[in-house]
Amino acid sequence: MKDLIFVLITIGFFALTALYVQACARIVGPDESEAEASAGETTAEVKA
Amino acid sequence: MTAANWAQLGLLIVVVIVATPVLGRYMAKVFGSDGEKAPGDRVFLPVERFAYRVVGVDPRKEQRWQTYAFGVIGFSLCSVLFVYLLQRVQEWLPFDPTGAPQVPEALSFNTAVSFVTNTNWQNYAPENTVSHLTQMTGLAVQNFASAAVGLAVAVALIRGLTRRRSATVGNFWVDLTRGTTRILVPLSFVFALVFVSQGMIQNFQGFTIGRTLEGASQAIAGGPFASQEAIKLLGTNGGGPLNANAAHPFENPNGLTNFLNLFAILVIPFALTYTFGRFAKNQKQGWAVFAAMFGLWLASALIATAFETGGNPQLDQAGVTQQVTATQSGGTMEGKEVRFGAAGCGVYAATTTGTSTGSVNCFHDSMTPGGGAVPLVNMMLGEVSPGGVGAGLYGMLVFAILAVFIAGLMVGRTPEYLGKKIQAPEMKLVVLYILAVPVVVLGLAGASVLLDTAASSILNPGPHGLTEVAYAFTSAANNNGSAFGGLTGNTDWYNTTLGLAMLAGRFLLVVPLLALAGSLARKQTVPASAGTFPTDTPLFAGLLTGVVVIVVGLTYFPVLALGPVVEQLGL
Repeated sequence: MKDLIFVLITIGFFALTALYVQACARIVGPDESEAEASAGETTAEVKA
Repeated sequence: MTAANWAQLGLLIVVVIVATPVLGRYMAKVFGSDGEKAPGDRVFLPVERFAYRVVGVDPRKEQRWQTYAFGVIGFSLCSVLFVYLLQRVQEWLPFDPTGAPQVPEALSFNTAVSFVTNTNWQNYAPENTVSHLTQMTGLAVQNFASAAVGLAVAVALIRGLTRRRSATVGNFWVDLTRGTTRILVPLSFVFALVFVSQGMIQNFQGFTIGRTLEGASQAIAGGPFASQEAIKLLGTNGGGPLNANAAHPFENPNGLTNFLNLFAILVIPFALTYTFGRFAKNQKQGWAVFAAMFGLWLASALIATAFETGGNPQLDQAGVTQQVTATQSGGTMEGKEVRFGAAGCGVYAATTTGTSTGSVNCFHDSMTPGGGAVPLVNMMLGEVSPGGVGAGLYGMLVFAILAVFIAGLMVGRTPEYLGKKIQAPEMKLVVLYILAVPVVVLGLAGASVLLDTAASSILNPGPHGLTEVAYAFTSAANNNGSAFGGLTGNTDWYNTTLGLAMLAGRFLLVVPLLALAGSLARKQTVPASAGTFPTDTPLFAGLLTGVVVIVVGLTYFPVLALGPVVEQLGL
C-alpha cells in the first residue's frame, strides 16, 4: 500500500510539473518566430 | 590558520584558476559553441550514436524549450521509479554481500528522489542499508545522470542567452549524452584511479571482521568506493558509500585526497563560466560571473575557517587551550577529523555547500554557530558560489538577469543582458525561479517546528534545534544533501517532506529556467548603446554579488537571526 502511495506521489508531482511547463509557456507567450522554427541548429541560427 | 593551511588554500585557488579555461574551452566544444568538431569525436561518437539509436533519438533535431523540459521531466520520472524499485527488491538481487534487506518505502522514496535530483541527502547509513548493486546501478548511475541533466539545462540557458531569433535551445538527449560520455565519465575515471592509488577502497567485498587492540570485533565495510567517490565529487553529488562520508579514511585517506576532493568539487562549476564566455564570444562575460562566484566562495571559506580555528569562547573561559601547538591543530575539534583539523573543516564545509555537493569531512552540527551558519547561508544563496554542476551557473545567470533589471531601474532604461532586452515575461520567470525555494524551505521548516510528530525528531532544543530543521530543508530544497545532524530524519514525515522539497527545488526551478531560455533565444539582440549597462566589468561582478547577498539576506534573515545568530551571541 505504501509503495502505491509513494509511486503516486512521484507520478503526481511530475504531472504537476508538466502542467507547470504549460503555465510557463503562457508567460512566455506565443512564439512569433514560429515560422522560422527549424529542425537544425544551422537553420535556427539563420537570422544571426 | 597555519602557514600550511594558507599554502593549501592558495594552491587550490591557483589550480582552479588554471583549470577553468582549459576545461571550460573543452566543454564549450563538447556542447558545440562554434559548430566545430569536438575533441575525441573518433572515440565518443560511435558510443553516442549507439545510445541515440537505442532510445530512438535523432541527434540532429533540435528542440523547443517545452520539448527540452518534457525530456528532463520524463527522464527524471523514469529514473526515480527505477531507483525506487531497485531498493525495494535489492534483497533478491545479486551483489549484496552484506545481506542488505529491502529498503523501507518512505526511505526508498527519499533516496530515489535524492539521487535523481543531485541532492544525495542520505537518511540512512549506506554500508548497512544498500547493496553494492543498488549503489552501482542505482545511486552511482544517478550521480552521473543528475549532474549531466544539470549541465544540459545550463547549456540550454546559455544557448538561449547567446542565440538570436532561434526557436530551439538544443537537444536534451544529445546534451545529456555528451555531458556524460565526454566530461563526467572520463574525468571520473582518472580521479578514481588516483584515489585508488592513495588508498581508497575499490572492491566487491562485504564486511571484513577485524579484532581491535581491546579484543573487540569490528566490522569493516568494503565495496566499490573509489569509483563512486570520483563522480560523487565531480558531479557535485555528495552522497558517499559510507556514513561518515569524507571524514572516513576509506573515502578520504589523506591530505592529498582531501585537496583533490576540493578541486574535483570546484573544477566543473567554475569552468562552466568560461564555457559561458565562449558561447557569448566575450570571455569577459564569463570572467565577471566567475569573479562573483569566486568572491562568494572565498569569503565563505575564510569566514568558516576563522570561526572554527578561533575556537569556542566558553572553552577559553574554562581554561582549555585551543591554540595551535605541537600536539594539536588548534580551534574547535569536536566533530572534526584530526587529519584535517579545524581549518580543513572550514574550507571543505564552505566548498561543499557553495556547490550542491553536500559531502562532509567534519560534522556541521558540531561547528561553532557562526561557522555552521556559513554552510547554511551558502545553500540559502541558492548555491551559486560556484554552485552545482550546471545548477550553479544557471542560478548565477538568473541573478545576473535580476541584477541588470535592477540596474535598468536605476537608470530608467530597459535592461539588457548580452544584448537581449529583459522584459516582463523574463522577469516573471526570474521571480518564479527565485521564490520557489524559499517558499518550500520556510513553509516546510515552519510546519516541522509546529507539528509534534516532526518536532520530536529535533535532538537539540532552542536555536540550535531550529537551525537543524532549517538546515535540513534548505539542504534538500537546494539539492545540496549535506546534513547538519542532530535531527532524526529517517521518519515518514521527514522522508516524505524532504523528498518533496528536493523535487520542488529541482523541477520548480528547471521549468521556468528553460522557459527563460526559450524566451531569450527567440529575441533579436540589440546593439549596445551609451545607456547599456556593461556586464563584463568588475563593477557588474560587484553588483551581481550584492544582489545575491541582498536577495538572500532579505528572504532568510529572520530564520538566521533566530537560529545561528542568536546562538553565537549567546556564547
